[in-house]
Amino acid sequence: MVSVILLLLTVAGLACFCLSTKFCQFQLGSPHSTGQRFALKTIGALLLIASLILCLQQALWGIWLTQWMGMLSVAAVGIVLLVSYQPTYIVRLILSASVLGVICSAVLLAA
Amino acid sequence: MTDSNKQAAEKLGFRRSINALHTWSGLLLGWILYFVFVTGTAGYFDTEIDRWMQPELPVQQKDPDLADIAQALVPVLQQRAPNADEWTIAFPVDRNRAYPQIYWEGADTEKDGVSANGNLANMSLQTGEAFQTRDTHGGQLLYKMHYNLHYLPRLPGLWLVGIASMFMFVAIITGVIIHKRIFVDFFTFRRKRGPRSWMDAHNVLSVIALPFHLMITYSGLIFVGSIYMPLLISAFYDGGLNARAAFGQDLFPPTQYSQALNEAKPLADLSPMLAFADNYWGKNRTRYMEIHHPGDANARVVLKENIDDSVVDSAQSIIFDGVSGEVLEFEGSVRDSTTTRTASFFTSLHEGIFAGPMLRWLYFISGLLGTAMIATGLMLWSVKRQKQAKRRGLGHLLVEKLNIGTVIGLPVGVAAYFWANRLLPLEMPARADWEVHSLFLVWLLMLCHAALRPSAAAWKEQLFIAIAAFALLPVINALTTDRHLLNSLVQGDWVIAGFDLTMLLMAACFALALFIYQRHQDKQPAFKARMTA
Repeated sequence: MVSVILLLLTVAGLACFCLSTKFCQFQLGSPHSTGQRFALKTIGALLLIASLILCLQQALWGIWLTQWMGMLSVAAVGIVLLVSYQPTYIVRLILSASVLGVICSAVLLAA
Repeated sequence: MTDSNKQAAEKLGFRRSINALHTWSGLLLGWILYFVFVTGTAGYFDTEIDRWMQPELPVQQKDPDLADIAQALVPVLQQRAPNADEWTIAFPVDRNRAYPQIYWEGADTEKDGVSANGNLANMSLQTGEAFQTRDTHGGQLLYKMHYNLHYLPRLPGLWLVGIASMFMFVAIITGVIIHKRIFVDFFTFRRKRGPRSWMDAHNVLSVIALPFHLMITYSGLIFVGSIYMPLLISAFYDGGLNARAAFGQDLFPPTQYSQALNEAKPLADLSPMLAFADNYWGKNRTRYMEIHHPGDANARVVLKENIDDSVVDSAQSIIFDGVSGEVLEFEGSVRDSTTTRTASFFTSLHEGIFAGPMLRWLYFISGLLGTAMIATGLMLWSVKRQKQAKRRGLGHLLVEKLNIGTVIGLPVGVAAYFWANRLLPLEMPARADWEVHSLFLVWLLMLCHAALRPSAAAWKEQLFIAIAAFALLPVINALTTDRHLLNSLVQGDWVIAGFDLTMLLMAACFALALFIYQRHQDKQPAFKARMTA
């Protein structure tokens, strides 16, 4: 379950970062204001920090940290392909990954 | 020229120099690096490939009873090497070992009739013999190939891989320097833009797995650093022929648990010792059981912990009296010094020794990203120069043909290695060696094919061969063994099923590449004309 939450957080975080880039806005055809871009970067950074904290809280944090790095790469590959081939799905990806992440976290906390 | 202009010109000159260094350090040994990455990435699943290449082995038992294994295998050791100084039973508690293995050291060659040191892998508890399997080098060969290049003697192979790794390290560092917009372009991949798309693909693949690329190159150089810098050992160990042996002893200190008294006493019951370890470390976390001086009054039983819970090898040991069975000592890792822990850290990180299934897949995917990074870099060099028709020469043609024959040809060679495992007669002399020869012969054929055919046709044909080679592997497996995909899935044998599914996925990736290439060609007649020229 921790792995799933980790993946969802990294996907959502990197997708926010991606959405804040000029390339993504060009692909979407809708430029964001400076404030919006700053907000997206902040949310992205917070989500990635949250995923990092989740790793460091695990007993075998060294291994989890390695896993986190790997997940960042895999998530980034998926997002790059998405933004190049189906850019309109990026917002849906952020929303679904965030919602799923919250649900999984709640399940984990309840368990 | 003003000072600021001068500075800008100097900066531009510096960046150009670094760019040239990046290009040539990446290109010159790029094909060796590609080979290292393909075989090394496959090596992350070496044990799983071993299993697929030995279909005679039964499905791996889950949660084995270690006491049962010890009880079954100690009599085997007693029978085979009764006078050995040390017996070891390796338990199948992780992916590295699917079946028990036994070792003996210091056997009496005359009395016991066996070699002084020996081992038997893949032991059957029912028969007390090793399972009979086909002669194969398995996935271990692919793993070893990535640092010794197979046909070369060990040292020249290591040196060549070391030089290639150093070139790659230079290429990575210079790549970071020349990539001015490294973070801004993190997600940028512009499709259908010719060389620009290749550049984007190369940049994206390099940057998103940059920590992995840096780690794998640096750790690879460091953990065989003593071979690349032999004078260091001579400097610290007063030179001489024994310097390397002394260095080895410091790195892997020999352990001496007891001296034999030469007084016969029966070995204590091993089950309570294993139960103690289960309570202390958790269930089935004992990796090895060593029995020192078995049958002697001063026998010792040493249980060693598994190493899957730390990036640094920090496995503990519990030492028991081999006659009374009482606990004598808890011993920390032999890697207690900072130096040995650092060496262990780099080795573990490079090889992913501690990685469970999820992390192992992430290592594998990162390895594929590295492979794709090298391939796109090689392609970029060629594609960029296709734009400038006047600059095409013998060198360009050589790079283009080597690219086709290696980027596609090598994976086809690896597929041929698996085909040979299923198709070569089981009784064939030197069968395992011929499996390997198949890999290199097919690769050579692919290089010849690339050299003889027009480039555009060669790409298409080789991609088609790659699709067939990988997609038909599960079919060949089904036709030649009873471990076909459906059977494996029903039996829950995820190792064999996973291999077959991965081969189908590889075929799908090559099919996608062919589809994109075909579409690209159809839309660009000028490009097509250039490629076929």
